[in-house]
Amino acid sequence: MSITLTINGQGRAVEVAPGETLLELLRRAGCKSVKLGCDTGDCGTCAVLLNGRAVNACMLLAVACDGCSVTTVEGLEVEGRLHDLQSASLDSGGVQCGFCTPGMIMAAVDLLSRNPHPTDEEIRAGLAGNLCRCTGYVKQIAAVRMAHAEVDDHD
Amino acid sequence: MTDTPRNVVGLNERKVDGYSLVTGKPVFAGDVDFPDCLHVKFLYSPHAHARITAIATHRAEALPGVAVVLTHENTPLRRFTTAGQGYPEPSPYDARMFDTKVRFVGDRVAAVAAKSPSIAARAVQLIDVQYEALPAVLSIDEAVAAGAPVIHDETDATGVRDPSRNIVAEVLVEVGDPETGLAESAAVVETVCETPYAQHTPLEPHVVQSYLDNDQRLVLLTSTQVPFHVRRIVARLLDLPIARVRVIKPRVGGGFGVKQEVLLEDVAALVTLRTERPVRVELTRPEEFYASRTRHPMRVGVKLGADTDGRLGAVSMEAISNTGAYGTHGLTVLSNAGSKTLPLYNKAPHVRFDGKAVYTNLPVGGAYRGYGATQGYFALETAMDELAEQLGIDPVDLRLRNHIRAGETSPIFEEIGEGRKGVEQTIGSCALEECLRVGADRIGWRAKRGLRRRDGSWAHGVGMSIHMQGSGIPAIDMGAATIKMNDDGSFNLLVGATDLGTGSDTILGQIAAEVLGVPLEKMIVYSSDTDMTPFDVGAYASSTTYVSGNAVRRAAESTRRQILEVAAAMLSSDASHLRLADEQVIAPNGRTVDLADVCLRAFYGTDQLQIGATASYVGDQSPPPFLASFAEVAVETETGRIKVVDYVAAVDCGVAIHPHAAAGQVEGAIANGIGYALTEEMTFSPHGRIRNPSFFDYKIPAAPDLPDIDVILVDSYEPTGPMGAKSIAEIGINAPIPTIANAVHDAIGVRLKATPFTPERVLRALRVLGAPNG
Amino acid sequence: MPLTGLESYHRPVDLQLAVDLIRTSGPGARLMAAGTDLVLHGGDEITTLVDLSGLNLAYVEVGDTRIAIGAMTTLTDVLEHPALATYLGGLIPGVLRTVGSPMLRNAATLGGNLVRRQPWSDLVPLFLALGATIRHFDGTEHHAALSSFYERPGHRPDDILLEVVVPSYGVGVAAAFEKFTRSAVDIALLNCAVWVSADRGTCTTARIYVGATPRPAVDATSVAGYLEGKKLDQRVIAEAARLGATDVTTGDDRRASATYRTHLVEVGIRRCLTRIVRSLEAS
Ligand SMILES: Cc1cc2nc3c(=O)[nH]c(=O)nc-3n(C[C@H](O)[C@H](O)[C@H](O)COP(=O)(O)OP(=O)(O)OC[C@H]3O[C@@H](n4cnc5c(N)ncnc54)[C@H](O)[C@@H]3O)c2cc1C
Ligand code: FES
Ligand code: FES
Repeated sequence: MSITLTINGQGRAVEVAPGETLLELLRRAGCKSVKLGCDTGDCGTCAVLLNGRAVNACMLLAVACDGCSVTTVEGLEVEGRLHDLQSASLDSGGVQCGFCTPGMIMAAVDLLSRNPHPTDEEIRAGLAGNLCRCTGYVKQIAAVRMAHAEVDDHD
Repeated sequence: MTDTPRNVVGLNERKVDGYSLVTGKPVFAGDVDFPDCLHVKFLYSPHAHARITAIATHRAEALPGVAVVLTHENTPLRRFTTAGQGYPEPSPYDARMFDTKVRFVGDRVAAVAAKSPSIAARAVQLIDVQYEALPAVLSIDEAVAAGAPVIHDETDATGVRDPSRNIVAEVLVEVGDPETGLAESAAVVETVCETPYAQHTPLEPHVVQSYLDNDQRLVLLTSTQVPFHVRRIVARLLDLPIARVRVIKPRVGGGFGVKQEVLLEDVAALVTLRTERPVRVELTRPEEFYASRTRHPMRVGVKLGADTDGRLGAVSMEAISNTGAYGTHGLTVLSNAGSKTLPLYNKAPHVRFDGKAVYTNLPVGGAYRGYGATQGYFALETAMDELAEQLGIDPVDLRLRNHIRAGETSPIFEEIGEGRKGVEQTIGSCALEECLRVGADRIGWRAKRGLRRRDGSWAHGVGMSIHMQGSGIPAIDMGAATIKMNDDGSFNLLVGATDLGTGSDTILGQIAAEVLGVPLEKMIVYSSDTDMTPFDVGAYASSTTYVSGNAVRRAAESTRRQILEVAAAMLSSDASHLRLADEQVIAPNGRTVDLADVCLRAFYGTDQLQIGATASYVGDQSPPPFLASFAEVAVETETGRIKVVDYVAAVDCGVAIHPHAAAGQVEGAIANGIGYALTEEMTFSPHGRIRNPSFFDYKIPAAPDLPDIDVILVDSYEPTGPMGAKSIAEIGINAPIPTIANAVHDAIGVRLKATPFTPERVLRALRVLGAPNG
Repeated sequence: MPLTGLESYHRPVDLQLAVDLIRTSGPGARLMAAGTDLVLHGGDEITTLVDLSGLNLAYVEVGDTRIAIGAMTTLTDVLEHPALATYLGGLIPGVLRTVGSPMLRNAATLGGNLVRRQPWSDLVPLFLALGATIRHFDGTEHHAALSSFYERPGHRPDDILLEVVVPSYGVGVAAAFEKFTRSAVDIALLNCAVWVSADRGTCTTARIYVGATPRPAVDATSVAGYLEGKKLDQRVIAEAARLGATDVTTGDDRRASATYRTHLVEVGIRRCLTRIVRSLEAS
């Protein structure tokens, strides 16, 4: 089956197998930031923005995303400038192995887009679907805090 | 503590691999697509214990797209250990690539390589196996029972203590006369604690890709902690010259010990050799649970004897460890339950460690962060809390009266090693007193302890424990580093040390940059590739910062000397008078020469040479990091649920080369330990089949499950460490179980002695619920 | 392996067409909402999927006497809808915050949850207790109580849930929900939803559903019967909770034992009723 979708701002026509997940499609399309940590919707390493909202790509059927717009972490850097959440993740020390990082960042992008000033508790709830075994979340939460402070600075 | 000014060490630099990680570059082993690649799926044993009487693969082989089917009938039969340890491995050679007997549900029976994962999966279903089921051993008690089924009845296994009794290893050490010591003590406590099967769950499951390069050499691109051990073990197993094998470790998505094992590389390699095609083998999340490695479940009993002031006179520990179907790390994990815990209370003249590791027909134990110490500390630090209670001494004071100090030693260092005798050592740095003080202050220990404060249905309490670990295995772990200088004043740093998310590439880069007087950006760090980087045992036993770090320091110092030699000629000065700073060599008279010019001269001027060096390091010591751990918990007495509301870990890791990375190691380890304390347990059916192999049912902590873990890095300087550093990676994971157990006791007055501390167990301890059925 | 047998996918823009597609595509045809459950658990017998996302069923419609929620509305959109923030003290968003993760809720639909009816679903007991009614379509449109929808012998694959309607309630009505889990993001070890209508502190009607027992939510009719006509004081609440623990059958599974679940039935009903009394007193 043939579908069209926008991946990181680029319109693409792609062939998909009927049972293929969005995760499989995106990795096949070269977006290797989309990780397979569980394949059951429990870990969040496959998180991407679908029409602006963070979803688990492993739980969605690729064909059903026909006509949608997908953003992965590869699409966040604009003209060599990292997204605030990317820089904050580096500066807070929130990246250890980095396997959970793309998904974590995408979930945080969604969180901040809806709630630009989350409390720590809201950050924790916002990242609840993104498991990380390396960090204990302390510095990842700090990264979100740091990024929203920066958003304020830009205002 | 040291007065040398630091330019790079001690700073929270951006990770050298950070950019590629936050932008999602294809840097993990599974991120590369090889053309014409084969995919492997395994057939696993449905039986806990059975003999394979017949196996027929023709239906599978006939399926279009299938390239090879591997079974015991067409693979090497030599026994080996999958444990990625130094040679000769202290683990028994009791495994085969594929065996004629299966020893747990999930044991490998066959592998299929096909052109797609789904074809391989379908072909697996087409393999016909006939089993003769055997009675199975599903617990420690069944393993040691008289007349128990023998799990390793083969004659060609080596390194097993007593296969006929399912005993993999035994360790018995006695110092002084513990029995009399206990008998003569004014106060004696005795406690037995149990920890279950648990899994590391790195977010990246195991993955390896293999291919033949243009010279027909075998290349393994693998998610491993131990590239050099992988090369050696695969080459020996498949009868290949080591020269024909190259192992590349790219970015690794977490390991925690589970990737200190050769689990998939042998199969990938063999399929590539047979087919000459690239091969990809990766585990699914469920397979990660049952078919990779786990934490060794243990039952640990501790007896303490003390005088009325709480001064310990005798410490005795008995540990029995379940190594599962194969003995990987069986002996060494068991040994560490004693060797990493007992020296902490070195004042006791009478010490005993009596340990046994036994086989069962359950998943295989392996290396897991904490490595036995986690299990040992649960019992030891619970017993210390009970002793404090019995004597009416504050638990912090009790620790202060007994813990090891700088300048002191413990006979255990020498008595228990890793598969052989240990190494005598004197503690060079120990800031545990300070850790106890700042930790207690920060949690509000004196104000909160013993209050039984209630807040609605929640009962609050505080608890604590102290810990030590090591920094590599002394006299065994070796690391090496190579530095070479480039003509813009940058350097390549090539290390065999294995960054698996720990930040070691960054930390090692900082050490080199500090010595060479350059900013971190001038270090191009590469790890690890058996063709390109010098040897290193790999990332385990908390060795990287200390062992590999010392190797890097040496290589940098040697490089520095060469730079000064060349610069001396350029500055017409004596090398011994020159300094290196800010990317320049500076003469006493103020004249300077840029590093770039030094290298240009070395490349193209007179007396040409490549400036650079390779250096190695083996520790004759393993300086322990120390940790004082404090937690406040709330226990919901209606439901039994425990919430950790505050957690403080005050650590002495020597000088923190990269404070964020050091704190991050502790935060992550504490988080993992909280999971092990509260929710994590692999459970099994009566037939030995795992019941919860998914994140849906095996609950690891998510962000809302944890408090803001507060790590305090206490000032300290380790004289033998690189720049004063010690290790930090493992120690944190030992702390949450006893700390939380002790806090729960403070809150509700009951002692929990088996993890995880589930709500049901809490209610049973409170006698709100009766004993479980059956 | 899930959905390996899938051959065709349709996204009709017409209800009748959707039903026809299901009827003409053989036994392997299924309706699909977000597909999160189908992708994870759908078997290889599924050959055709009929996606409901082209049917304009994602909406929240606020009327004077009711709130109607389209079956294809995502859990996030339900959670964030302002009208629901005030409905019964924000009960529905409060429950939704405990359903899966934010990313799951961004995709999963209310209809998918209610039709799938996992035994541990939080929304099934919640909407049952709220007295929800539904509209569904199988060639003709039907109205029914959600409870009667579940009483039928089995869900027909060509029966499309269109919307779920909850009545507006005035003073004297309150509801509460309790969910017990192992960790923050987890399915219920047990959950219960309680709805009470009262007249000056005396219960006139009650609905109590207990889910994840581990079987699908059950109507604790004996508890509801007991409460009717009683003044909701501590003693009555305690007795109702005890009755629930006796009358609701629980079982063991890998997540919890029957004994613990029975204990939780009591705690859950007690907590819900206590909260209900508090909010009745406040209104
Ligand atoms: C990791 C995870 C955690 C979860 N945690 C919770 C939780 O804590 N609490 C909870 O309640 N739920 C939980 N869920 C379930 C979740 O809320 C959804 O209910 C579920 O995923 C299905 O939603 P969907 O829209 O994707 O349905 P789909 O997968 O599209 O459909 C599910 C079934 O319903 C049928 N169907 C869907 N819509 C309609 C319709 N309008 N008419 C007729 N038939 C229809 C489909 O044919 C299919 O059989 C969890 C799910 C996951 C994966
Ligand atoms: S891979 Fe999608 S949630 Fe884990
Ligand atoms: S950084 Fe390793 S899993 Fe999060």
